Amino acid sequence: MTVWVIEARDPLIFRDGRPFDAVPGTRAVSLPFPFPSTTAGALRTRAGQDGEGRFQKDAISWVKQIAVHGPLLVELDKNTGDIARWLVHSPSDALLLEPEPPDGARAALKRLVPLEAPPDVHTDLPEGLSLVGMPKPDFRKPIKKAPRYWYWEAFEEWLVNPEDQSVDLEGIGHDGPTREARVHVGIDPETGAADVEKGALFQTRGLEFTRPRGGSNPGDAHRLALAVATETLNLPDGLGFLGGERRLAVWRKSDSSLPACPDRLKSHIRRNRHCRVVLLTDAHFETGWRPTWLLNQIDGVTPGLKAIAIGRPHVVSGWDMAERGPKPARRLAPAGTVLFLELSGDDDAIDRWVDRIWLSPVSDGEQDRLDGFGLAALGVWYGTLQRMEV
Amino acid sequence: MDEVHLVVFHVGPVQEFIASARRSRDLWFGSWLLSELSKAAAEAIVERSGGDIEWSLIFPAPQSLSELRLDNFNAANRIVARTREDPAKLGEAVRIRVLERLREISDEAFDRVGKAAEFDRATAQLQVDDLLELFWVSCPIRDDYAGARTQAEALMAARKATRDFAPSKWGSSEEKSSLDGLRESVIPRDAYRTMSGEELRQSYGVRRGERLCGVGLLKRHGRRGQGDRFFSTSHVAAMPMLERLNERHRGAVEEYVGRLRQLGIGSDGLDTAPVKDPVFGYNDGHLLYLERLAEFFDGDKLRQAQEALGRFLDRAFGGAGPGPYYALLHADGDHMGQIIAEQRTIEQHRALSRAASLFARRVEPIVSRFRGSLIYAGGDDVLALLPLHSALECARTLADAFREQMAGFAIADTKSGKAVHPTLSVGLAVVHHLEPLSEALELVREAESYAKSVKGKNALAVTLSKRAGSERTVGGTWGSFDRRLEWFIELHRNEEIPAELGYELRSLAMELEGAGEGPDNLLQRVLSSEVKRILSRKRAERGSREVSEDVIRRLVDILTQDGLPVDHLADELIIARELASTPKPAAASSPDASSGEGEKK
Repeated sequence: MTVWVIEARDPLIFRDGRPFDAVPGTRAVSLPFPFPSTTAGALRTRAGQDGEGRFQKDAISWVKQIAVHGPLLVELDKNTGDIARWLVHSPSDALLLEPEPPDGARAALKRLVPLEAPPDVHTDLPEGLSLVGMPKPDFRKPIKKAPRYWYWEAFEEWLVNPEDQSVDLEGIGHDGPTREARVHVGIDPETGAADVEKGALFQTRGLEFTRPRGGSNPGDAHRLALAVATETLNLPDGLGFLGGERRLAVWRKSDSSLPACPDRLKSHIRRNRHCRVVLLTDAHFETGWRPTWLLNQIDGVTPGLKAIAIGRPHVVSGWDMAERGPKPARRLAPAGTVLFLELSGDDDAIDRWVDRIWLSPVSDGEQDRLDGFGLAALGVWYGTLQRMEV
Repeated sequence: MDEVHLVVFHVGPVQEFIASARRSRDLWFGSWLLSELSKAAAEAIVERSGGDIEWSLIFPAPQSLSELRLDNFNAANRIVARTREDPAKLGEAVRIRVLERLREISDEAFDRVGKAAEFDRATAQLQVDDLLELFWVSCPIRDDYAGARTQAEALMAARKATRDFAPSKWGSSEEKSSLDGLRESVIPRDAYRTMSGEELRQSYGVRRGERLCGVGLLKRHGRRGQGDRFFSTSHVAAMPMLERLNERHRGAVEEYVGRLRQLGIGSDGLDTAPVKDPVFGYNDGHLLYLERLAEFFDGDKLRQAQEALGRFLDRAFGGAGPGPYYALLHADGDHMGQIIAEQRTIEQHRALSRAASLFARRVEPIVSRFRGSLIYAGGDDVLALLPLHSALECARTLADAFREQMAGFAIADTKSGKAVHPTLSVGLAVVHHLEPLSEALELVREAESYAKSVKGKNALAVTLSKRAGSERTVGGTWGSFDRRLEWFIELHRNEEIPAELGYELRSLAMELEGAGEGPDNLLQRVLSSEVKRILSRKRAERGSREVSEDVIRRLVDILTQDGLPVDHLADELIIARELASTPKPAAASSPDASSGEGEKK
């Protein structure tokens, strides 16, 4: 697979479903991160262009078959502009709590695991699932500035060796692109003056793909970008539109590849016959929170779902280019979701399954998988439920 | 089943649901709806315990079902109770009751819309049904109530780590709601082509560009029973000006309102305020803003209405218009988690819940006295709209009332061993009246969080969000910070310091950025003498008089002795200037000022 870097030239706006018009107080607010369909759509538009940069309508059916993995957030090398570090959404089985004594730069990292609850307690959890939490509850407050994205190095360690520890927040990751606001004035074309009837002022809020390093010199900021991986070879590099309001981004072929599955992780999973699946992009499952395709027998392995750490669903809709209308709203399992699986199958089958699932999409629908919804990483889980100690 | 179980219910979604609001009404109704659902859950619990409210409900803790049902009794989104029933059966009964209550409220709202115009009711109902997020956990209570509560809290935290959800059943290619973009609009597309702006407002309660899903329609058309009227943000922003109207202005008001009637203003434009003003009547302050008239008139009629407003403002206020800013207040009790953990018995926990409820009941009269409008007061959680001129004093009065009400509860400070009593931290966000409420809510939550981050809590924080996009926040402990801010407001009102002083100090702070903080720092001392120099050459009263020696000395003391960084001082002065832009409240100092204002319709 080839990795492409998409570096924003302007602040980008990834719209939610809200219609935007220049009425008083209106804001075109960007989502904090694009859905996979946004980057897949942009990549396919590039792939379907002729030499003059015009999209060929008859290309729609074949470009939809292009598989796109991503988007993931990356930090770029200041000089080469290529990928220096990968970042992924923080996992839902990690909780960052206020340390004792308080320290703005550090946090207590706590691991949430599937629990064995005492027999006389009850909950309305869906049948067959275990609670996910801390075996020994810690009621300290979650820190307010938990990094939304983790550096791949910290994340990989969490996949292989998840342990409670004290962490340096800057070493774990950061909040990704910076939100910026712009105020616009609606101008009445007839008078050339501010359009008072419509309230004149409206605002757009975009994402600036830079991250301050902490110093006062803006030139020191980290350059951030999006990265996607695809098999397609004939993609032109250069400028293109991305997201709402026709904002510009530069496409560049990267020399990097997607992070590989560490061998120690693979052997852990083979040995324990259990694992975690961590979603790096939002996934669509036909029945809501529970996956179907992922739990089917694949390559001789049948996974069983034991527990899931999942937040409130995200909602995606978007614009259907082919139908020229809004797409129906769908609920997605958010990036960061962690599924705790039991795997049945022999060693070879499990190895094949790990290779197949690692950094591949696990959504139920084939088109969603092609679009990159539900990109998954794998992590260690021993499969034993831990007793709640209260 | 004889075993007694402690049951905790979570009713949601909370923030996301309430926050998806463009107007104050959306926010007001959303908060009420959520409280109603929690109350329905509490009611079901009490009924299934044979009506023994004292035994069954721990939080909230009303004395009777009739108190629980009172309009001004708000319930938070968490209910703690005990039961002898199988918790699974109780959980199911509560879920059914909460859904029924949701249906009841939405049916009433949808009936009202349906009388005026068609909409896709089936989809709207599906969307509303799916709104509910209800979790419960239970554990046995044996001889250790505090232990059982800790276990239940841990179970609830774990339960909320798995937020199971169903797929959306309503998805279609309709446009999405303008409030949150999460669900499809249920208003037919044709309506926007065939109806005038006024017809859209009358039929659906929407502006031309605005789309609403079933949940949005429910928020816009739902009724809170008696007293179902709420101040608009514009009304609250205009309050300092409305207060200046007196008998002499009656003729001008009548002429202006008469002109709007002649021009055919709709029923949603006049007589919509919940409280009667002696001169402006039940009319909403939104009528005082040129830009808001566009919601009631189009084309030439709009021009004529705006001319009529111009004439009115000329006659009544010499041409000045109302200020565009108001304050959103969010308050939350400090140390409440630890205080709850200290309660060893159900009776003690119940007494704490009761004290919080009694405080909540005191909030509405206080907010009204300061000419504000209460959105929500449940336990230690308060959300209200306030005019700029009385926001600070109202916040302080609430903090005092909370301290007083909760004085009987305490925790021991881990270091000093001294008793720490519950206090109230308050965030105020000063926002433009046309700002979507969802944005204002985000700002006030950040302000409240800033107040909580002040050492020892018991603090106030104020965020000023100017329309141009800049935001600044200042904060500090009650008793010192608020008094200082009040002094700055007085200095600005009396023109004892130059209006632009804050901005000038801001520039100085930026030029010398990194000069260090704290009273002992050399650069800080250099900065102080520079501030002194600026103040000595600045003139107050619009340039006619020098800044007094006493004021200069006190301002410099704030930097050198109190150790306030100069950029903080600058921001405090800038925010004080905005708060001073409205005249001093006419009646906020009189405790019974609200009694002469007429009553709720």
